[in-house]
Amino acid sequence: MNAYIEQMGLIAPELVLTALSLFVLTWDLLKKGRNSDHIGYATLVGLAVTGWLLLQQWGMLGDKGTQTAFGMVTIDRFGTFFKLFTVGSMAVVTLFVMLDKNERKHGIGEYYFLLIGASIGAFFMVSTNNLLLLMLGLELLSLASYSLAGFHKGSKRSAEAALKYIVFGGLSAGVMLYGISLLYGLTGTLDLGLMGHAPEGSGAVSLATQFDASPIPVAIAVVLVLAGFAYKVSVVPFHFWTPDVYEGAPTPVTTFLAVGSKAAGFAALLRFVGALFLTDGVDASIVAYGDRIGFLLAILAAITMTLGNLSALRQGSLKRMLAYSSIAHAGYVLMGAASMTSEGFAAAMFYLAAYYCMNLGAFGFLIYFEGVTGKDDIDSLKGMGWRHPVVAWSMVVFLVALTGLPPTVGFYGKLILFYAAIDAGLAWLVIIAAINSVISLFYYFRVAKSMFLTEPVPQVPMRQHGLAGILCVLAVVTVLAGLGAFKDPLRGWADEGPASLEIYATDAGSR
Amino acid sequence: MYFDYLNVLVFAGVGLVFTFANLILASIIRPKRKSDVGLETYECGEETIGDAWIKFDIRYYTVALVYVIFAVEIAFLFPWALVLKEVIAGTGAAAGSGIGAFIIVEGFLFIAILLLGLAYVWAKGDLDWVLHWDAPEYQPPTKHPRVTLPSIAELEAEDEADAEADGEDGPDGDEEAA
Repeated sequence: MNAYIEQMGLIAPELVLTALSLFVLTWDLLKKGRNSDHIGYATLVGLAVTGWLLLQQWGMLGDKGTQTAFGMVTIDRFGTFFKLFTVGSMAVVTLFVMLDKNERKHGIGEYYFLLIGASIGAFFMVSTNNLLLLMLGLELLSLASYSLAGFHKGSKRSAEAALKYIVFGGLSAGVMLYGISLLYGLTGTLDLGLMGHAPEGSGAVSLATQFDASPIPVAIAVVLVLAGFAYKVSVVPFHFWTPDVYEGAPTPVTTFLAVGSKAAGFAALLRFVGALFLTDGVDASIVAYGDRIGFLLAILAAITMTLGNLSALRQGSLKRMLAYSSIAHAGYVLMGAASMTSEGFAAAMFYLAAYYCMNLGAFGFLIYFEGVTGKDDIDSLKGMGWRHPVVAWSMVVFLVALTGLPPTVGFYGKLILFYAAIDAGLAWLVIIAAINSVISLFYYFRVAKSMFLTEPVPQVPMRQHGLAGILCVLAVVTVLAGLGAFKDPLRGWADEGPASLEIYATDAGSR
Repeated sequence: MYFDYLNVLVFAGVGLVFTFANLILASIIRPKRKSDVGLETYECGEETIGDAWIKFDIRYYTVALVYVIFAVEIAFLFPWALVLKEVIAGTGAAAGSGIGAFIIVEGFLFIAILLLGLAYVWAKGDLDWVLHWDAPEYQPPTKHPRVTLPSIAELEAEDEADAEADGEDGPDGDEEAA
């Protein structure tokens, strides 16, 4: 009928999610909040449809992405990769909400609505080259996350989490917007592609030209925008909100914050850095500056993983320990971005995929455990291994993966991250990361020790078969994804991402 | 190289000079007659009572949020209406692209989504100034028993009664009965 309308097909997954969110909200209103589980099932069906559409899209997309909605939305394999994992993790989080023993069964329809809203924000955030839409997506994701963190209205800690999150979030959004406005002032465009390389007649000035004229404004603008991303993915020194928010928020929400929200932030960060410094045709001066940004990211990565791991050592609460562990993992993923090569970006994407599996599992275990004991401290885990063997052994798999030991996907993810970083000349960072992995072994295995090697504390056994089943599946996936038959396709998908960003492949060591 | 930003400095400088020059000039030429009335905060109106830093009712914020729904609606409908006018008149950038119907549908879809937000607020009872949605039933406050000190005459009467009871049943009589 028309080119504009035909192009709407490209954002079909987003449209389906939007329709789903409206449907869920209306249904909840009409049912007056009765039996929210039905809404959970509807959400799962909608997410399945979205996932199917995304798979279709993956098949249709070539190496290069296409743009729609007047260049606002960029559909490429990089974005679709993250969207697929967002949908997958969102489905698991929805199941967690439905199976959480500490959650009400009625009147929580908004829970699903807010989760879907957050994923729409994440979708647009990972699939745009335009800083305006990126900011809108980020805000949609953040606003939904703020309300989700404070979902337990009666709980003081939940309210505290929401307030801390919104105050830190508002501040960092302001910082980031200031950076974006500086970038717009310098280049005259909001499009990252034009900022990297502005052809004649586009009316924009490339960032490289401005950098040659005067480097300081460019440096300030880029660092301010990076600070906004660093907050979203909780990189030191923007991590202060993480432990308190993760601890106070309802555990399924914490799962989403640690997995979906963080991965979307990393996707936007990789796209931003890639488009400005690494794509074909950007000038030599800005590439040289990009290497300095890479060095900055490498230092941040080293500080982040060290501080996260050292803080995690001293935590008595499993939830807080996982929060610090997620800070440490942000440091590992940042290694990939700091490499500033297509191999590094692919390694970061692979590691994020691994991180989805093992962190979903670890938080799922936390929900199970809270359902049994009503507590979240590691000492109360005593004897879990004998009373709930299936769940406990699944948790051991996740812990092994989080530490980065074979034969899990966590090991392989770390391996290719280290390779990419060494190729980029960051051997010192790899040494720090390896030491950190050893430190993390200690606190991860404190959990295993508590579960298996101590006398059981008498407690009422309570079976949660659904949750145990999900954990089993996730554990199997975590192991299988580290083995050849499943690892190589995943690696292939991750390699498609930087290619679709048109990041030029570099010879190792030439830069 | 940094000279490009000199105009910002000049702008700031002119702003500062203009502000303080006027204040200083006014303080030089104005008559100085001090009186108690002249030192009051307002020349007319009510005297303020108490502090402005008090807890405001959360319902004010709810109303403000509902207002934002409509503010956003208006802000987005103006450019929408302008583009639609151009398309219908056949002028402007989107002329002849045949997306008039698409634009109309999109606009009404936008309004429908916002109306759903209003319906949500309405159904949840946030438009009622006095909330009734989840409000618990009214229960009279439980009164603590009023403590009144007995008079000396009453105390003496009690002592006498105790003494009589001890004489009849012994000291533990009451407890065994209970």
